[in-house]
Amino acid sequence: MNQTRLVWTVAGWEFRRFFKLRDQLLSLLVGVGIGLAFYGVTKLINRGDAAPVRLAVMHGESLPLTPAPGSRLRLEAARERGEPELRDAVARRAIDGLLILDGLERAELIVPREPPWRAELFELLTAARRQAALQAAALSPADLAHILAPVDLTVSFQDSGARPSSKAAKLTAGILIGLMISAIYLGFAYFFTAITGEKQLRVTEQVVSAIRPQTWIDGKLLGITATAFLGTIGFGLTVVITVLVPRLLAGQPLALPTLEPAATLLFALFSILGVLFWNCFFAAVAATINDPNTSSRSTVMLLPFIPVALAFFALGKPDSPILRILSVLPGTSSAVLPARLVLGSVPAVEIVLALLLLAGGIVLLRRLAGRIFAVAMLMYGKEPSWREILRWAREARDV
Amino acid sequence: MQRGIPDAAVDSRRTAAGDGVIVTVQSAVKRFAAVSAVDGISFAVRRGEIFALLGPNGAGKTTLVRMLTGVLRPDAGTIAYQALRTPAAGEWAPAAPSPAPRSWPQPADLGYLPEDRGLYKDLPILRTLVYFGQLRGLPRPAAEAASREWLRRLGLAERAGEKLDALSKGNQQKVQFIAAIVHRPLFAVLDEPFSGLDPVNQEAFLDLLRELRAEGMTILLSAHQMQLVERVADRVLLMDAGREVLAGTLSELRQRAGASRRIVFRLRGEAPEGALADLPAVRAVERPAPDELAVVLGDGASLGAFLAGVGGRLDILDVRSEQATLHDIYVQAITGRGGGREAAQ
Repeated sequence: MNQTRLVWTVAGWEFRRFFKLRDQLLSLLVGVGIGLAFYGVTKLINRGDAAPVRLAVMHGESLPLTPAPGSRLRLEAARERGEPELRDAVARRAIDGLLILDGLERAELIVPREPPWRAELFELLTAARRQAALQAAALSPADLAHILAPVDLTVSFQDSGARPSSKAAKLTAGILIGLMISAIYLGFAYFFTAITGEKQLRVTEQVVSAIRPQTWIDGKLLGITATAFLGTIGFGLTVVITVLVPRLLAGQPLALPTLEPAATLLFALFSILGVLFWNCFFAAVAATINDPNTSSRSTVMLLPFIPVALAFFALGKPDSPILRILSVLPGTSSAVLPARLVLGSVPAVEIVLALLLLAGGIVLLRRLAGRIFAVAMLMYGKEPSWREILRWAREARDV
Repeated sequence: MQRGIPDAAVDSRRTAAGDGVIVTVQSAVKRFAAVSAVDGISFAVRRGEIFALLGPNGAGKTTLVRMLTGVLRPDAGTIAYQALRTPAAGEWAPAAPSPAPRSWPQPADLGYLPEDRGLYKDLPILRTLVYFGQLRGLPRPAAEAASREWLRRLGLAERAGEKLDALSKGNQQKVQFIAAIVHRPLFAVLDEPFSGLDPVNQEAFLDLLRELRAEGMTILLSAHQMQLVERVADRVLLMDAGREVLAGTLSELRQRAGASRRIVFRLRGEAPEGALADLPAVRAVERPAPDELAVVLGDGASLGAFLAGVGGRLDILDVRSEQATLHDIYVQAITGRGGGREAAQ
């Protein structure tokens, strides 16, 4: 029988078993809902912030205050009203506050509680004081701007393609690493559920009598990797929608980070291969778990997250020697190398080496996983020791 | 093997010579740590028959079945399949013998109902059956058509879209059975197919097995419900502790076990102790009830001479002749060789 066709049959089965389009669409709707809710709640909390603020000012002649056009601050001179009367007016909420000026240097604000417009008032007072000080020193605003101007430093990079990591680039790299971790997590979750479930449901014998264990695991690898990948895209879209909706409603368009087409292709390639690589590991370990509720081996399945999370160090020093090594090793290259690509430049030879090592690692790990899977899937009631697992990986043949 | 009973190995050598054999097992051995689960079993299954492996729990039946289906490999001995031909989609016909034997069947030729039942409980029944059909080589449309047909045949057509979990245990068993034979294998291995079925469904299942045999399917059953197996099996292999105890057709077993005839007398009053034991044709005498006397006649004994010998020694109300059941034969064989831990219980 055509093994390739069987692999695709299993892959299709696993994909349909876990990928639910309805759930994906539902999560997008939930994203929209969360965005709308966030926008609505923000709106409610900030309601009234734009309302005019009535402030009585005592001794206003010492520091002339002129709110900018559009400011909500409405300043009213105290005139003949005394401080006790004004304090009482504040207490009765007849006015929003009482501002008592004491020359240029000091001012006191009397309010019932912390006002949301405090920063605005502080800015107004500071500007008025600066203006008064300038007038006293006989300095024009242009003279002041000249004094405070920074040095204009231009940096030229000798390595072609090298460029500083902007905030946007760091954000993009961080998102890529996050997506990679998400894809690996989904692979872990699906493999754990699929394989331990099949062992517990005793599906194994029926399948192993029909197809080779290696065929079975190959199909699972393809189907679950595709599911994890699409699930990650869905998760990413949900996050984007959740952030985008309130910003669009507030009239603040979100500048999404962009990737060059070549970098996008490389990222997709490394992501797929990286998820495949770690899924081989998950398949092998999950097959050795007897009872997922009690097995301590479940913790071992979390190990892959450590090397992948190391990629976050690339955000600080993308070209450090250790990160250059991590970007070619099969377990870490899928997260570190795309991050380095976004943050700076990576020599072509490192990219090719990383791809070759990752592909070779998958071939090797797939074979080892197949051998372990073939024996472990039929083992009930007892978890094999690590020594036994290593022996199977070394000796098992014809799976 | 040794024990003075012609064993299945002899039979297999005869059948392997060209009598339409599907699989030949020779001296198969499987050990788990210090335990020999299967210890030198030999037999052959002929094309188109229902062959039953019988024995108590722990006899080694399931281990043998797992070796036959490729789930386990024997530590010693051989399991050799003759070439099997898979009919085209929609076609069902007994396979023509092939001159080119090969050691293992194509997945499409083999069906397997494992003792450890297992299907995806949280997925629709039809989808699961189609998947298993595809794994056995059916194209998707053919797998779906066959699955629907089998569901209809077993009264589950209306429940095709439901999850397995929603079915009763008996209906789950039916679905499991469909998964084993949905691709119309030439050789179906059914491990404990009767478990979980109520008496009505057990009867229906026996009829189904007969139908499949009539359609040309070869079936190997592994079971411990001897009263059901003896009604459908063409040949049986009785096992205990991984070894063969008896093998052959039911009548052959009766002959070999010397339990071919049993005469039961119902008497007026209590049956006397030791009555008729002195007659030369009598092999054993039992008292199944206070007013009954059961006599087992020896091999070749003349029934007429025996009845004449009984003459007026008993006040007889009724006489009936019984054939020894498979259970009787099995218990007799096991106790005769000092085994039968669970059978004797």
